[in-house]
Amino acid sequence: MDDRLHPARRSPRLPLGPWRQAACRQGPTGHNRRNLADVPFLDDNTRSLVGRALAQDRDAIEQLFARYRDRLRAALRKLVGPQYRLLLADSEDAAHDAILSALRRLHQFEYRGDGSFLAWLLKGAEYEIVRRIRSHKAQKRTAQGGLLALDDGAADLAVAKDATPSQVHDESELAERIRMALQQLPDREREVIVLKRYLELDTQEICAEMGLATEGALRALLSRAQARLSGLLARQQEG
Amino acid sequence: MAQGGERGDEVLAMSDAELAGFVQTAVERFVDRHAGGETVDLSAFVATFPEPCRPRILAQCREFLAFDGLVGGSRREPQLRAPATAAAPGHGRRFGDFVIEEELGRGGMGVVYLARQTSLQRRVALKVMASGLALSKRHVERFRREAAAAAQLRHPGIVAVHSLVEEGGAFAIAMDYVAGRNLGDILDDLRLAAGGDGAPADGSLGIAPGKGHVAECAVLVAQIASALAAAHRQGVVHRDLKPRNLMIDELRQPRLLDFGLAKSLGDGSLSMSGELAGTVHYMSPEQTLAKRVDVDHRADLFALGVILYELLTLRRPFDGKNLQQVVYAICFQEPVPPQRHNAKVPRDLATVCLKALEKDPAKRYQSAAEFEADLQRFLRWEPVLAKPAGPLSRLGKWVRRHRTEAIAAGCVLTLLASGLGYQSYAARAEAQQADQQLQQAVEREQGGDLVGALDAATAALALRDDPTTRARIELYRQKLETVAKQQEADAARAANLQLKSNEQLAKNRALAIHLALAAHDVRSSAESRSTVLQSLGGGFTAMPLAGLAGRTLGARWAPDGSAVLTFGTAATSTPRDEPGIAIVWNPDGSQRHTLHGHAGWILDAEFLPDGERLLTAGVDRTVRVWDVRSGAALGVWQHAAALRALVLDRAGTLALTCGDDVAEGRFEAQIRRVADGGVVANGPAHRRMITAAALSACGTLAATAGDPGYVVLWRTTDGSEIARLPGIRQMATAAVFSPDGRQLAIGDYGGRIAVFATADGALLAEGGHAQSVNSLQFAPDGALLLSAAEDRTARLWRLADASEAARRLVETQPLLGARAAVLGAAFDVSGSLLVTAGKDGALRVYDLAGTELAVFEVGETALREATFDPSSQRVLCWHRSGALVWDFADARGVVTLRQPGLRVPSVCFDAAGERVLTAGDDERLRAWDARTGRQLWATPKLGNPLAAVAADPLHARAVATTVRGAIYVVRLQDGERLFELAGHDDKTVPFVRWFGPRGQLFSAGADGAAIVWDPATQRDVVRLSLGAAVVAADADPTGAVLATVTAGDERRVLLWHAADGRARGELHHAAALRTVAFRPDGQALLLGDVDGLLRVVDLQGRELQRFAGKGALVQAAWRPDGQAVLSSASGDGNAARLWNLGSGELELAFTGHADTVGSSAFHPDGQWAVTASRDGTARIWPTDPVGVARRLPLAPLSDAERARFGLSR
Repeated sequence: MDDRLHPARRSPRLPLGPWRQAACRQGPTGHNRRNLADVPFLDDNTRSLVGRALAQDRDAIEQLFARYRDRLRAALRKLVGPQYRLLLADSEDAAHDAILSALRRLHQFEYRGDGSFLAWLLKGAEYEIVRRIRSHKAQKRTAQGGLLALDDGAADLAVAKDATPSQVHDESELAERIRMALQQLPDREREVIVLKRYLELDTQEICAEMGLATEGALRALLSRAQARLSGLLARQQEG
Repeated sequence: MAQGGERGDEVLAMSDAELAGFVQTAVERFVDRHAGGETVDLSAFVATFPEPCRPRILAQCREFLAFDGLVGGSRREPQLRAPATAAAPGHGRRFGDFVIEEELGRGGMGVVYLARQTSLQRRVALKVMASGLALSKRHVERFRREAAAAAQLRHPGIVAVHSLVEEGGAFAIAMDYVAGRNLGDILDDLRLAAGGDGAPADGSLGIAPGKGHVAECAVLVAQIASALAAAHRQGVVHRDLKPRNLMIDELRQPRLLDFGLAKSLGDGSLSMSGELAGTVHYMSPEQTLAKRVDVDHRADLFALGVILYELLTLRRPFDGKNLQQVVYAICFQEPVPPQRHNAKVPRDLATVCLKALEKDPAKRYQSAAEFEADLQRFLRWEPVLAKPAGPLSRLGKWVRRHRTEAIAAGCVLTLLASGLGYQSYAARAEAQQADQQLQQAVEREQGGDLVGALDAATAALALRDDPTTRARIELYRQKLETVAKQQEADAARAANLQLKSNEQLAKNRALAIHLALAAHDVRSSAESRSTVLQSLGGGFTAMPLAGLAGRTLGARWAPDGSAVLTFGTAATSTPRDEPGIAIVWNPDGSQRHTLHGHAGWILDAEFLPDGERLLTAGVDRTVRVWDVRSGAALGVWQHAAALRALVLDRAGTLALTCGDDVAEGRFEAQIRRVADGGVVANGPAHRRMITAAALSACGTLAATAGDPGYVVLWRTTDGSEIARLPGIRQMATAAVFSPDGRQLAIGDYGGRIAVFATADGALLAEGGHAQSVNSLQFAPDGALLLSAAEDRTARLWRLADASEAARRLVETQPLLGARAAVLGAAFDVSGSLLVTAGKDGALRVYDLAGTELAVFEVGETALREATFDPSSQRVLCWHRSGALVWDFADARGVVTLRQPGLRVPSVCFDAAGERVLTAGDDERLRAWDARTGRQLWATPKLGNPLAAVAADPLHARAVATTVRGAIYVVRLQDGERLFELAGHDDKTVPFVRWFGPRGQLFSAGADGAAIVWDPATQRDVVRLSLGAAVVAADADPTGAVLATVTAGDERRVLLWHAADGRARGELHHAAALRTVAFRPDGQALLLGDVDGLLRVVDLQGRELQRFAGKGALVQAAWRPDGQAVLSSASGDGNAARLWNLGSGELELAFTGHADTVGSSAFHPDGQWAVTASRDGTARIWPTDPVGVARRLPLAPLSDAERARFGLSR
């Protein structure tokens, strides 16, 4: 074991190591309201696209869609978990639809340039897809009376042939729990997790997107965020 | 663990918060180590912490691992097991479906093998990625994506990618095996053969034997450019083009390798590998310099330029001893012209090469196709399009040339004197020139030309490398940077304001215009102008009349429209006995008089027909008479009830007043003489509040309605009842007499409308709305009844005639479009226009056919009682806090013409600019007032959808063509058909225009005929049979030349003599043409192609100007002054783009249409343009929106608004 890195060696009363403090100096800027124009990820082109998309320009929406679809789709599948398969019966690509409607509703969500555009867009798409899952379930409920609980599980299993029933259930539950926990995280920490783990942006992109100056700052923020996330998850289990 | 015990006490002493912090830190450590790729033994890790917090740490770490498992591995350096390429790659080793036969080569990315695919028994090249690449999951995914994109490419010049093979975490790409050599090796050989210096031997490339090395190079590079063009068209950019990625196959054809692949792996973990140093020579400045700039296809063109240079000279244009020097050269140094290394390089080819090597991507060829076309031009010995560099770089070149001369002179000197003598001479000469350059730099800087200054200083540095020069360069660079930063900041601020303007569009139009103008002031650009145009939007502004501090309760036009009266109360509180106020306004929006006197709210008021007096009726139980001119009170009529309505007869001799005294239960209707206020008669008694009252125009009849179902018609002479009208069961909400007084219409709360005969009170007809009727008005001729209702519609009705079901109101036209209840609707004096006002805060003007001619939107405020002034040009309406006058005839923004049918294929202005003509696929030609957008006339159906329209500049007539080959000439005044020209086959005739001094007509159609007609004889004068459908055509306005482009031969414009149809010549273009248009002076043509390129060429084919648009051109039109063109393209966001030839830039884009613009035209004065679209509308809009917006009488922004948007005064 490497004693130098032993966290317990540091005084527990000073949980912030030097690099953590550096990260904190970085931090607050991201919380300030930023203009759309200041968001680093938004190069001129994207910024104008977002502007036009806000004005419901179909063309711009399609371009944004084409640009981010793949990333968002992959992220959504992870985020929603096996429940996502529920939707496959409805639509060939539920994620596709969700992203598109999130983009179309840009103006309603009023993106003002606080934080990451991508993370924000993902949130919109997530909202969309969860809404759809709910309505899907509700539809089934009305169609098939009170057999919901039983039926839901069956639907999950029917489409997930490659996994055992308990796996599907566990993963489904875990994904749901993680989503809940993510919502409880501070914006910035949620954002860094979403960008890194779900959208799988690379280090430089995340730094630019979040206004972090160094990779060290990102690493620190990410560790802190994931540790806090696991704390929330653990608390859910207790409660 | 002893340590654990000690610290256990410490931990026990912690508070909960501290404990949580401690656990958090521990878990962070775990997360960090895990992410770092370490396999952490969880139990051992947890055991290092004090006992009390172990369970929590353990639980949290487990949760993290579960999370980590679900979202996928996060490790920064996953240790992927891969076949060790470092180990000897044994012959016969298998990799998936492939058996490796021999190693072909190695690179930074991996090893390339010749392999056999066992399933298909074919030979492929298998590129196995080096295992040390530590492919993260994301890399892998991106790599897959790029491979997939590359696999889409099918072009003889591109090595096809067949499949992506994964085995044991390693990746390999199977692609075509190309027997041949890569260009890098070939170049190395050439360099060896040439012995370091000098030109390569002819035919050494073997590509075009017998043509000479230079031509061979051009052929080769043109072939590569063609392959690149194919890839770029599919959106795939190579990003790492270099000789080693180019195979010359056995057929001597170049084949491109590794599309997009290098880049997909080339960032992140790979970027610092040794590969970079080897390939940087081919990188474009934007690739080496700016990490965040989007590197697009033009980087490939730069690389291809480097390859061309290297092929021609066997040297690299940008070289240096180390990476930094090379990058510096790429970014800041001009390449030495290739002729200097190889005298055989012709100037044109050198120019082409140097254009590809421009630092600024915008100055390079904009597409590989352009690059190729220019090389082909060179090969055909045609003039190339590339121009030698601009004056600044030319100067740099002059300096260099000068230096050579100096050196040459020095050489002569050396023969005469010592080497030292030469050196000092040369040094002195250079120093002198360096001084000159520096001097020039200073002058340019003072002149504000920083780029020029930097150029000159750089030239000086090339001559003399000293600290002063360096410092100067640094200074200029810093200044440039500051300027650039300022510009960037301005651009950001402007973009922000534009966004805000867009946000305000639907909310507050005036604010949107202010913000768009502010953005334009910060940074003027095509975008800012377009935003201003957008902010003008539906296009009109209204003059606000907001003088009452309290509530406005009504507004009236003076009979002649020379004044406006608004009335209500000055108090903001609700009691009605607060003083009432009326204001008389001048037409310019200034207040003429404020009329004080009423002790309670003024609920109604009327001008007398003479316009000299007006009456106001208040809840203070008085009617007051005022002099309009002086504002003096002329008299007061005392009433017994609080007045709520006042109606005058047409002559203004009698007034009907309605009022109530709720406390006493008195509800009265009274007829008074206007002259002296004397009571003429009292109406029948009502037991409830009178909710609707009407007085006939001649003043003999009155109708009042109170209780639900109680409507009384009575005589004004004595108040005697004529009839109680049956059938109205709900509360009456509107009552109106027809102009002749023979009919009375009543509307009720349930939406019913009933029309009664006033002679006997008999019900004539009924009909109605779904919800409450808010207003009723008869047309001036009494034939139509206009109703406005809560159900979001206004409707036009007439009485059923004998042939129809009796007693029905027949609806002639619904007036749709309102998004909320319609509160008021009115005819203009002529009865041909209608206006509605509604809760959605919009005023809408319609014609009798229900066509929405114009909309003015205020926003959230409900608008009431819209009325036209006598000129039918302005509309007055009021809302809670004021009134507004909408100058409807003064269209200052976008006027929308809605043609029934799916699309409007063609549009034009008439010669005077008074009318717009639209040819619709509803088979009608329509004329519209160009100022107001009112439809003037429509022809009867012409039998087939129309294809094109053009107005005769000499006579008052117009021509329209149909999709079935017919040509109709109609009179401009009324659309009356004058004659028909038959000559085209049964196919569409999309091109028609009047031209020449004698007013001839030119038409060209899909039947392959282009015809010149003499309208006087109605015969064809010239007839060209082109053999294929005409896809673009135009006639020279001066009458000399015709131009046609035919299907199947779309890269060529054929020119003809208009007089006799002789061929006059042809013009060539690199891509398929979609539009041709003669400049108004006939001396130049505008050509637009499928790639969105617009070129202005003279009749000899020399290019005068070019603009690169987006999408495939659909049409283009010249501004009458020949200084601008308006174009539209499919795939360009339905925009019409206005290009300014003077500035050479995009002036603005009009984005109001919902589908592609298929036709456009300019107003003769050039200040307006009209565009017709497949969305079924034509729109007239100002070409100088900024000027128009600035002239608008907008109320200035309040300080609060300024502060909110960060605007200074």
